[in-house]
Amino acid sequence: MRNKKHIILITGTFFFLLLMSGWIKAREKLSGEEIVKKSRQIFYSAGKDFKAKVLMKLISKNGKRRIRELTMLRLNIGESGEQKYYMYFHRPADVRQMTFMVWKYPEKNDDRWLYVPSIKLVRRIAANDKNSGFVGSDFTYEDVSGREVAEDTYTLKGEEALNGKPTYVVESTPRDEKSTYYSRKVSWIDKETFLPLKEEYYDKRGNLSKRFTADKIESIQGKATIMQRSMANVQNGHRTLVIFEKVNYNVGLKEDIFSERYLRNAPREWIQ
Amino acid sequence: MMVFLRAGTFIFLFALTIMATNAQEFELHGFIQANFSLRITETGENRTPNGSPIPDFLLGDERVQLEITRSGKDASLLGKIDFFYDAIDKQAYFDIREAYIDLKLGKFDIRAGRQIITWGVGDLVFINDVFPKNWVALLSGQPLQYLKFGSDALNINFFPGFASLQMIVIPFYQADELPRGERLLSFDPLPDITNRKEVQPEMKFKNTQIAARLYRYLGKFDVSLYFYRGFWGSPPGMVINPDEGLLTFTHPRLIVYGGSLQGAFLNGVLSLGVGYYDSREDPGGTNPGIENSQTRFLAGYQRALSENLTFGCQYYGERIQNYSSYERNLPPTFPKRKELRHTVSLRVTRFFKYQTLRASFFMFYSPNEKDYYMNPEIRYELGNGLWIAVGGILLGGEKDHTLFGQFEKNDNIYFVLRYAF
Repeated sequence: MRNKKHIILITGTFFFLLLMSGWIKAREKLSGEEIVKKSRQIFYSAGKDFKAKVLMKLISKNGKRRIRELTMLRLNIGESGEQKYYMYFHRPADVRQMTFMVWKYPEKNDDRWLYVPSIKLVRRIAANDKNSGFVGSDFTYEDVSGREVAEDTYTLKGEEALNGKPTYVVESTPRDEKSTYYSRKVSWIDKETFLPLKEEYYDKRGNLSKRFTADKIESIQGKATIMQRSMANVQNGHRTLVIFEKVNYNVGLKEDIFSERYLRNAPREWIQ
Repeated sequence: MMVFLRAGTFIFLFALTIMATNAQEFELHGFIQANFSLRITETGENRTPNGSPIPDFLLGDERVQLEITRSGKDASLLGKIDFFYDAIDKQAYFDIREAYIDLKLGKFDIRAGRQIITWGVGDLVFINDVFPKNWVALLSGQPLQYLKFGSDALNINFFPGFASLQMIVIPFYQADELPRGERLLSFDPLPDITNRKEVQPEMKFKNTQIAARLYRYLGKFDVSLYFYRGFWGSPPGMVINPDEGLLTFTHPRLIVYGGSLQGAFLNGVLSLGVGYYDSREDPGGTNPGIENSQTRFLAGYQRALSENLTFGCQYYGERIQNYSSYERNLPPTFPKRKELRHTVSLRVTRFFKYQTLRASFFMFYSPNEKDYYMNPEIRYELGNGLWIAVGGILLGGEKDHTLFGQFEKNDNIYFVLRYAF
C-alpha cells in the first residue's frame, strides 16, 4: 500500500519536473516567430495609447535636407491589433495643418482619410499602397504602422551582441513574394527590451537595399522607446532620420478624436 | 432687426473667443506665388465684350497670402487674405479668402464668418456641394484651392453620437465666377444682345441659403445625406428683353436633395453620389431661361496600382427631368442639350524621387457630347516650402456649344512658383 503511494508520488514528481523542464526550455528558446510577435507588440502597440511629436529629416545623397514635422496620436482598440492613428502636420509650411487619419485592422486594408486644409476637403484615399514611401521618406506605410506577423515566415539565426547588447538574430521571408519589396529581412532584436536595434532589407535580387537602425532608446513611463531611428537606402544614398519628442503613453485618448470632426477641426489640446 | 441680431451674435461669439484664446499666441503663415498662363490657341477675330482683342495671357498673377491663426482649446481664429497684382489688368487687389471664428462647445463645433465649405465625394464633380466656385480659376490654370472661395456663413456642427449633423446658414449670396468672354472665350447663344447685366438675389432674410448634411460611418462606408435650399449658381438663369436688347443673368430658386457613400472596396476606394436638383421657379420645365430640374449622379473608384502610382476613374451623369417640355420650349437659336449628358474621368498620379517630383494627368471625356478637358501637370518640390508646377489645360470637342467644347480656344500652359512659409 505504502509502496504504491510512493510510486505514484515519485512518478508524479517525475512528470511534473519533466513538464516544468520543457516549459523552462521553451521559455529560454523562443521561436523566431514568437520573438518577432513580441517585438512588434512592443514596437507598434506599447501602452493603451501613444502621443509624440515626430521630426523627420529626409536627406538626399548629396546632403540636401527636407523636413516633415507632425504630431502622431495612436490608440489601440481592444486586443485584436486594431488601431487608430491621427497625424497632424506642422511642417513644411505647404502641408501645414494637413491631417492624415488611419484606421488599421488586422488582416485587411486600412481605412485612410486625408484632410486638405486649403479647400477644407476630407476624403478617403486608397490604402493598398503599403510599400509606398510615407510622406516621401525611406519609411514605407508598412514600416510606420507595422506588417502583419503572419505575412512572413521566420528563422532564428542565432544570438549576437550588437553594440554590447545581446540580441536575437531573426530572418523574415515573405510568404507571398508579391506582398512586399524585400526578399528577406534580417532583424537584430534586443533580448531585454525586444525592440529591433537593426534591420537589413534585401531586394528581390538578394542585394542589401535598406538598413534600419535604432539610434537612441529611452525609457518613457517604464517603456523602452526608440527616440531616434533611421532608415537608409544603401543603394542610392538617401536616408531618413526620425526623432521622437514629447513622447507619452496612456494619455487618455478617446476614440472620437479619430473621426471626421477632428480631421476638420484638430484637437488643440492633443496636437500642440 | 436681423442686422442687430447678426451683429449681436457676432459680438457675443467674438467676446467668447477672446476669453477662450487669451492664453494662446498668434501664428503667421502664408505664401508668395507667381502664376502665369499662356494661351496656345489662336483667337482669330474674337473680341472681349468691350471690343478689345483677346489677350494671349490668361493669368499674370503675383500674390502674397497671409494667414493669421490663433488656436485655443475651445476657440480659434483664422484670417486668410490674398494681396495680388493682375499684370494683365495692371491692377492690384486684395481678397479676404477666409475670416472665421471656431468655437468648440461640448457636442457642438461652431464656425462663424467667411469660410470655404467643401463636401461630397466627386473628383472635380460637385453634386451636393453647391457652395461658390471659381470656374475661371480652374480653366485658366490657378492651383486647385482657388476653385473654391468663401461663403459668409454660420456653420453649426452637432455630434450627438449616433450620427453627425452639419447645418449651414448663408445669409449673403455669392455667385460662381463664370467665364464672361473677357479672357476665356466661351459659347454665346445670343451674340447680338451685347447689353448684359447680372441680378443677384436681394439681401433679404427670405433669401438666406440653408444647407445641411447628416452623416455617419455605416459598416465600412462614410454615408451622408444632403440638403440645400438656395439658388442656381452655374449655369445661371437668363431673362431676355428683346425690345431693350438686354440679357439679364439671374439666380432662380433651387432645392437640392442628395446622398453619398464612400468606402473601401476591392483594395481601393469606392464613391457613389446622387442629387436631385429641384428647379423651384420652373417646375414644369417650360421656361427656357431657367434650368430644368435634374438628377445628377456619380460613381468613382480609386486605388494604388503600384508604389507611388495611384489611379482613379469616375462616371458622372446629368439627366434633364422634363426633357420633352425642354425640347418644346427651346428657342430656335439655342443648341439642344442631350437628355442625359455624361462624362467619364480619369486621374493618374505618379510620384518620383522620394515624392519630390509628381506627374499627374486628369481628364474628363463625354462619350455623348464628344468633348474633353485635360490637365497634365508636373510639380517639383525644390525645398522646404518651395515648389514649382508646370501644366497644361486642353479643352475641346466636336461641337462649339458643349460644356468643354465651347472653351476650345482657351488651351493654355500654366506655370506656378510658390514659396510657403
